[in-house]
Amino acid sequence: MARPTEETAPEPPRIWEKTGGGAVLIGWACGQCGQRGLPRQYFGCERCGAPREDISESALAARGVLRSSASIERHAVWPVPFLMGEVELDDGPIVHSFLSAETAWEPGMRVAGDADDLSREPYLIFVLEEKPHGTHH
Amino acid sequence: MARITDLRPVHVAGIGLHPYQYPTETSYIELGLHAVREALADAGVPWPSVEAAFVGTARLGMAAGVPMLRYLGMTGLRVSQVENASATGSTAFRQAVAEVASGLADVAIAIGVDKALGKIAAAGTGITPISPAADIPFARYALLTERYLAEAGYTREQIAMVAVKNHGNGALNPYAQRRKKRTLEEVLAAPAVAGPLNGLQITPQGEGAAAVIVMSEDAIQRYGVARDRTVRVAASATTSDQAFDGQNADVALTVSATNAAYEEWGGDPKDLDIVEVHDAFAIEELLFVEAMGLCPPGAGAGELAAGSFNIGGRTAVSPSGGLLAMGHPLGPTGLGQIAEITRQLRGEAGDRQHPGAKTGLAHMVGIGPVCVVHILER
Repeated sequence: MARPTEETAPEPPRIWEKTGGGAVLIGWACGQCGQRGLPRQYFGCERCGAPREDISESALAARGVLRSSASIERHAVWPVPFLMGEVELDDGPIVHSFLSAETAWEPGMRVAGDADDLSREPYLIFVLEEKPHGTHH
Repeated sequence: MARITDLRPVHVAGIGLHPYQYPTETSYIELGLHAVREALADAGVPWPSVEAAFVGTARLGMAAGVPMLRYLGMTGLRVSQVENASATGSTAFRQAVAEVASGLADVAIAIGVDKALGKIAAAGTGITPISPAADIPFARYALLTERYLAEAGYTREQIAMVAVKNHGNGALNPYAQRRKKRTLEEVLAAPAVAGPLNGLQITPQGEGAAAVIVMSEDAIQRYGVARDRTVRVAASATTSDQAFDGQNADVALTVSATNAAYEEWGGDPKDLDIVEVHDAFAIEELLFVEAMGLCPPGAGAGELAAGSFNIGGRTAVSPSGGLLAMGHPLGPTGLGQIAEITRQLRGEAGDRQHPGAKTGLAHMVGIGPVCVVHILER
């Protein structure tokens, strides 16, 4: 079989996907202990060491609470400045991700991945979570 | 499970450094040989006395050791290469200490040498990260700094004071990459990099070399090494990532590694005279001095402002200038810490001598994450 070249190499797997319920991040789940994590991997469980046979793909809701944000002023690839956030997902893992520049961010704010914004492809950008219609806080 | 100090006593007998510097065309061989020759002269032993060498390099690629060491004379000594990210030099030191403690050698050398080349192995894992900045240390530490400012109630000025102290110490160290004293105003005004972190609060890229010779009691007597210039290895501890459930892993690893080292040493952290800490980012010094029990959580900035961590204070933290000022060429860094502590415990640190220094702790964390801690004692 011929070696893959730049033209024939498969596309890297997607980091996130759009669903009816909003954006989800594609991670992994352990069939032995139930641990879930990001990013997607098939090597084994970080918590209990279960082998790859027990690791399956798992979608984690791209929703959570902002723990911290910072403006990045130097970067080799992306135009600067841009905002990064540390987000504790409702599904458990803590991720670092692009953050929208349109909000004055404070720790504790609810955030969600914007499934319609492809400006940071292949990565997801987090924005202020919209409150479901009809609810009041 | 045996600890290194349950085996034979091991002593640091010789130290040598090539000054850390901004990237040049200088061969790594020249950098490394400079440090090794200085360490041999410091110990007063000939190269053929060295039975085993552990060459720590994170960026040079494979087979860096023998092509360098052959120019000291091809003695047939055992040569191994060690890599452990930022903790590479610390890990090479541990391997050399273990070689002597176990009785496999009476004289061993750990050498750290690096140039600003190469990339980290994460590129070959096949795992696509969640974001492009997730694995850029300065972005992670900018986010951590912002969180710490909010949660601990610290100010940007308090964190910048770490850099003021360490740049001041580095100005007194002829081996430091940055040798310029800086005011708080200068540190705060440096070009922004990420969040509150700027150029003077982040370690510079660079190159250099460091070497440490360790010996058994027998070898010290056999080679007539001056006893009053040897320093005993009192503890060696290392650990790697555990499931810490959302805690900062570097902080959690620092707690576990320093606790293991204190137990092995049998002393109290408040009795440490010298601490060399992994301060690649200014925020780290405050996080780690609290994590290693030099002061209560949240008290680091107050203690720093009160002068507790100055040379001449309660515990001199990073009298070398730390990674912020002495530099962080990777392979050499952990060994440079051992060299600084040895110099301080001998009373040979000149203008930056901490009075009466008898004990010192060296701490490095590295991508992995991993953490390596050593305690030296006179």
